[in-house]
Formats: sequence, C-alpha cells, structure tokens
Amino acid sequence: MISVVLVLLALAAQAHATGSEGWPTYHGDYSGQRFSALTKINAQNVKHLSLAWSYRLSSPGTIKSTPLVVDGIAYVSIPDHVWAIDARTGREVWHFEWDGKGGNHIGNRGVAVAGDSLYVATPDCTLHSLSIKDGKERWRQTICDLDLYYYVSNAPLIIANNGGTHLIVGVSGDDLDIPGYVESHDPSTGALQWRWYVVPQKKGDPGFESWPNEDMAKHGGGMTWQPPTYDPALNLLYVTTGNPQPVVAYKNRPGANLFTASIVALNPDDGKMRWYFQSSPHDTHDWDATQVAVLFDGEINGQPRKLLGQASRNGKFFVLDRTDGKAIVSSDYVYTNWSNGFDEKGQPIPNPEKEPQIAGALVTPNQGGATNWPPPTFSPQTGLFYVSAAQAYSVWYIYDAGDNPQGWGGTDRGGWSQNMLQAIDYKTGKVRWSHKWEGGGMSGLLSTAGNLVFSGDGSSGNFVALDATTGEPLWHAGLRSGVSNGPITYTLDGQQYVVVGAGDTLWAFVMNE
Amino acid sequence: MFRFGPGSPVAAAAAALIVALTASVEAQRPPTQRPPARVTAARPAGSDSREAIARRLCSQCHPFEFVIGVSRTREQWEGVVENMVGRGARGTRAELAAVVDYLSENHVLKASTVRGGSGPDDKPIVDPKAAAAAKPLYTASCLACHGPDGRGTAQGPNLVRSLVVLHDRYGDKLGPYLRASHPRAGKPAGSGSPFEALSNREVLLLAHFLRERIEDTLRGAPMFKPGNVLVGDSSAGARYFQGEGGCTQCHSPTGDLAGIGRRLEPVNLQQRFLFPQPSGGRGRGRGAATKPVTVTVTTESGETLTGALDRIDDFNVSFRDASGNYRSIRRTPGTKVVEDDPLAAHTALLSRITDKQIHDVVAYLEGLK
Repeated sequence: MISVVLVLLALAAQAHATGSEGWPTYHGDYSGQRFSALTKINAQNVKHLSLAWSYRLSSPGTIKSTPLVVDGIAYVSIPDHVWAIDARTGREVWHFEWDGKGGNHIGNRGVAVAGDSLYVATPDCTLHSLSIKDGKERWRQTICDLDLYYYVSNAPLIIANNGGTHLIVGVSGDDLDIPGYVESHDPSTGALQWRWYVVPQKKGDPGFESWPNEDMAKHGGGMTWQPPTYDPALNLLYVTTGNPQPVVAYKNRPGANLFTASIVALNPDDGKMRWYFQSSPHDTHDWDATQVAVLFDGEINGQPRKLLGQASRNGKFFVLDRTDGKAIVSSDYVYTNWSNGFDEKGQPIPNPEKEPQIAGALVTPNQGGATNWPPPTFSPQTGLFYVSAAQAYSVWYIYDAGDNPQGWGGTDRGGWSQNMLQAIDYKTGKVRWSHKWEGGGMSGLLSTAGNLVFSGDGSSGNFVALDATTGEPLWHAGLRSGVSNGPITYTLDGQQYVVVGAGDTLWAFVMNE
Repeated sequence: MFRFGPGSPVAAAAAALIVALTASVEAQRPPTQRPPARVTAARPAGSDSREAIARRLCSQCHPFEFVIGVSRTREQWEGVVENMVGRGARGTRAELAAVVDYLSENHVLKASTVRGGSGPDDKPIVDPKAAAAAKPLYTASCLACHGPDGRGTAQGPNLVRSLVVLHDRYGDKLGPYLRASHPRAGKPAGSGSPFEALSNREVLLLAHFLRERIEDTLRGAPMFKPGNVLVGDSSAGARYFQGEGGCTQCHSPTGDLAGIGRRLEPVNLQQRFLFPQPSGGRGRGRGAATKPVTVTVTTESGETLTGALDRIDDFNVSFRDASGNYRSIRRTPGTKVVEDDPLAAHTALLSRITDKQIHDVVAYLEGLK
C-alpha cells in the first residue's frame, strides 16, 4: 500500500512537471490543461512531422478515450475493451474484453493507471481493476444500477494525498429522472470510501431550496460523466455536473436546480462540497456543464491568482478563483441568444422565452452545444484557452406539455452549425483568434511549449497543427476519419511522439532526425 | 384442466429434451446476439405447417389467440413450451421444436429503437400488444391512485420512478409485490394485498404496460410529437416574406412555393425554411444539396476554374466543372477560393430572425394551399 502511495505521489509530481515524459492521466496531469512542456516538435519544424505507426483496434469501435502512456506502454479503451499498446511500435501487448451486461455504449473516456494497476469502468456500471502486466482482472465493483438507466463512460481518476488514495469515478445516464453522483473507492480493494450526490436527496440538504419539492430534487439528474480535475496544494477536486432532469420539459422543476450544470469543489477525503458555481442555472437545453474545469495560475489586475477556466457547453466562458469559486470573468466565446446577461455571481441569467416552447424556440447553441466533451487546452505560454467550438442553431420544442413531465418531454430539431477553434484570452474572456473549419464536428485539443495547438478539423478528417499564437495551420495529415479523441504527446528514447485517435485507429507521429 | 399431469413420463421425457435443446443452443453463442430465426430440428415441410402444429398443440387447452396475445423472447418461449410440456402438452421433439421456432419467429419481442430501452440482457422489451391488453385492468385497478400515465397522484406513488417497477423483468418483481405487499387502501400495513388473486398473465400484461410508460419518457419516445406550431400572424408573415425577410429574392408564393402548405406539415415547414440544407443536421451538409454550392478557384498562375463543390478543407478543394470533370486543387497562399452558397440567405436569417417572425412566416406559408 505504501509503495502504491509513493508511486502515486511520484506520478503526481511528474504530472506537475507538465508531463515531460509519459501521459499518465486522462488530461496528462491533474490540471486539465493538456499543455506539454515538450519542444522537440515546434512551430518551426512541425511541417516535417511524419508517421511513426498506426494501430487499428482489434474490435470495432470509436476511440473517444485519451490514451495514457506509462513506462512506454499506451493504454486505450472503448466501451468494454482496453488495449495495452507498445508506444514505440504500435504493437498490441494485451487486450481486455468484458462480456458486459448492457448499458449505453456511447463512449468511454479512458482509464487510470497507478502502480501496477489499471482502472476502467464499463457501460454496465462495473468498475474494474486490472493488472497492467497482462490485463487480468483483480477486482470489480458495481457502482450504479443498470435498471435505472445509469451507465458509465467516465475515465476514473486516481489521487493520492495525506488522506489516503482515492479512485474517483462518476456516472452517466440522462434518460430517466435519477440523481447523479461521484464516488471514491479504495484503489487496492475497490471498497467504497464516499459518495457525493449532485442533487439533494432529502429536505434540508444543501441546494434543496432550488427545487420545488423532495421528489423532484432527489430525481433531479446532474450526471458526472467527465473526469474531474484536482489541485493537490488546495486538496480540492473539481467536479463538473450534467443537466437537470426532466431534461427539456421543465414545468415541474422551477428553480436553479442545484447542483446540476455546475462546477463543484469537493474535499477528496470525505466528498464534502466546499463551493459551487452554476454555469447553467435551470438548464433546459441538455447543455450540462461537464466541460473540463481547467486549473491554471495567472495574473488578474497585476495579482497572482489561482484560477479555474471553463468553456461551457452553453457558449459561456468563465474564469473563477479556484480557492473559493468566485467568478472573475464571464463572457460568451461564441454568439449565444438564450440569456439576459450575468447575475451578481457571474452566472448567466436564462431568458424564459428561449426555453423550449410548444411552437418552437430558435436557440444557439443547439443540443450538441457550443462545445461538448472533447477536451480543451490551456497554454500558460500564450495565456490562451483553446476550445473546439460550434456556432450551432436548432429549434427547441416541448412535446410533453403536461404539468408533470418525466424524462425528456421535448427535444431540439434541425440545425445548422459552423465549427471553429476559439483561442480565448483568459484575462478578458474575449476571443483573441478564431479559426473556422469547413468540416462539421468537434475535436479534443493539445497545446505544447513548441507554440503549437493540435486539433482535428472535424469531418474533413485532417489532424492539424496550428501556430498557438496566430492560429495559422502549419501542418496536417489526412486520416481515414475525423479526429475522435484528445491528442497526446510523450517522449521515448529522446523522441517526441504525438498520438491521436481517429475512428478505430490510433495514429502516432514523430519528428525524425 | 390439463390432460396429462406433471408426473407423466412422456411429458418428463419431452421436457428433458427441450431443456437439453435449450442448453445446447445457449452454449453456441453469447446471449446478446440472438439471430432472429434458426432451425433446431427437422422442420415439417412448409412454414405454415409449423403454425398448424402450434395451433393444434396449444389449442388443446387454450384459445390460440390467447397464447399469441403476448410476444416473448425466444428464451421465454422456450420456457413457456417447457412449462406446458410439464403441464401435459404432448408432442414429438420435432413438433415442440417447430412450435418454439414458430412462436419465436412470429411472436417475438422486438427490441425498442428508443435510446437506452433495449436488449434481453439489459432492459425488458415492451410488447405493445400486451401493454394495450393491460389497459382495462390498469384502468379498473390502478388508475385511480397512480394516474393515467402511472406518474402518481395524491393517493398513490409515481410508478415510472418505482424501484419495484424499474427492477422488474416481465413480472418477476411486480407479481410478488402486487400479490403480497401492495397496501390495501385505508387499511393498516399487513392487512393483505387487494391483488392476491392476480394471475401470472395479468401480472405480465401490467409489467408490459408499466414498462411502456417508462419508455414514454425516454428521448425519442414515439409519443413525443410536436404540438401546435401555428401560433403566428399570417399577415405579419406575409409582410416579413415580402419585406425584411428578403424571401422574394428567390421565392414566389405563386411559383415555387404555390401549395407548399399542402405539401408540408407546419412543423416541417418551419424546419425547412430555417434549415433548408438536406442533411438537416450538424455541419454544413453540401454533398447532397439540391442546388450545389458553386466554387470559383483562381490558381497561382491566374487561371480561373469554376464548378459544383465536392469537398473543401483548409488544404484542398475539389469540384466538378461544367463538363463533369473532377478537379482537385491544393490551396496555396496564392490560390483564391470563393464559394457561392445558394442557401446563404437562409443561414443569414438565423442570427437575426425572432421567434415571432418564425411563427408568422410559418402561418403565412401554411396558408399557401
């Protein structure tokens, strides 16, 4: 156990040295920046970047997960499958296949690795511990109820601090009216350490006043389907939460519906909430606020500050003080038409006329959002927050006009969208540069100290390196399909690799010298 | 009621055969990938004869329509036939296999297309026939307290959120609960259930009915239909059409749009004028556009080429020229590319049209009969 802690602490230290070797967590480190200090590949030489290897999954699926790279082995997952791949050659080392019992197979974000164990959650509500040596299962735990339409797509996160080690995992499932939660497990045994419910489970719980009654509150949704970020110095875990339930028809849930569509700071040792910020009060558009809470240190009005940035699915960009959740910047990173400014806390004020209507309301963003799960990146070098974005319109309808809608009760239809890469100045919330893509669809992002941002260009199917300062495309490679995950970078034997998933294939690029 | 008791040696032998049959089939493939049909034993000639055999064997005790009134998975039909053999149904091995095949192919539960509502190993599958057959029973026994859609009233809880209902598989939880634990209105707990006498079939029908009520709440549920979108002012719509909207630059109420109100449902009219691109979805669907985007490319050498856009990204552009030739050109810094999108005026509306103007235009277009 002690050795596991030491490995984890070493891993954490390495992660905070900005991932100079492997890519040990979903985001590369705990901050969610997806910024690498590696410079071997840079804006000057990137035009020479070339293919090192490709690996096509031995079972069909789309790679939405961000691979981890630990000790020269890459670990990549899709629902019910994990592969260990030699990160030098792209050869398969082992393959774990789970004979699942069901659950929504929409995607899997990835795995966690600590010591000689790998952790992955499968759609049928099962959390597994595997040996990284051969992929053999060590233990498994059921973490949600499949009958209630829960499933899991999240990548677990391992953190180690003075309070012990915690395996953090969230749940998915915005079908029925059920509560979201985050759990912490003992990584060595799988035993539950704590569970934090996103919505009040009884009268008097925090946030209860934002719901009409106990029944609506305890069934109020708020799925936790994205991996959290973590600040070891503050010992705060930043969890982002999903949409309230019922999703679109909202008549029976007046109020802000806390703590759905929010950024929440938890103590990882006991799961108690320290503060919250609601990115989408009373969400009625399935927008969530599960986008990455990116942690970075910056300067506001000449003062050094511990900050947190989020480009939310609703089209709003927030910079908060991550010690207390107070908003410093609230802005729009694409044009939005659904809100009437921001309240005194910096939270958007929804315009009731742009909530879904029986006759339809034209809203931007659409259900897919101004961005979605593909992870953004923050470069401390440029001070820019990069996000894969869409200016997308659709018409929102109420289908269940009764007084007690359940589940969905409506949806959006149709649409038009323009996809783009937005580079946002964190100090002002203004878009410094915008690069429009011809193709549709979003991409995960990676920034590096080589003054580069890596991105897909949607359905056009290219993997592109852009100048991080100007947004000018400098290099591209046409892949068989659009980029479908967040790109990563690592060094092995002194060579810097960039690896990206597109459909069922991992593509690895390297600078040949 | 049954001709042969469960102890009958013939029945026992037949039951053993069915069990063996089932076990061998189970071993052949994972449970989630059941093909819709298979042949497990010599089948009598002609598929109609299988129905005749099923009708003959089942009708010994039941009206056949009663038997096929509920759809089941193959596994469930195998269980039913096995159970009936145990109760005295008599047939050869080939005949019993033919009955299972016939029932599994013609009266099988079809997995829901509703997101999240599928799979024999995940969520139970709804049989709409069985759900409909439960309505009289539900109306008589349940509706007063649980409401018409099962979502509860002051007298009874919400069944769509009930853990007994959500954990139920074809009555396995619902039956024991209804018969033994359901409270009696106005009586203290432990006074017995008012539903002690419910038959297995009634429980199964109710299970399908309640599962259907759950599926009614899922995204994409068939019951979710647009309401009335004709809430606008037709004359204001006409003014917008002829003025601010700029619609007459391309369209005419007596030309291309004559009779549009007859051809399209109002909600589709609304969708079509806001989002005319045929893909109707994400991205700028161009490939299938009825009026293609035209692209004009001026190369570094000064040559000007034009054609119907095939594909464009930051690095290359391809198109078909007037002769139908495919052209692909690299986008260098000195290459100029100009796109002409015939639907650009519709796109430009999105950031400025109000919901009232949308409803007015739909009311106006709907009137073009």
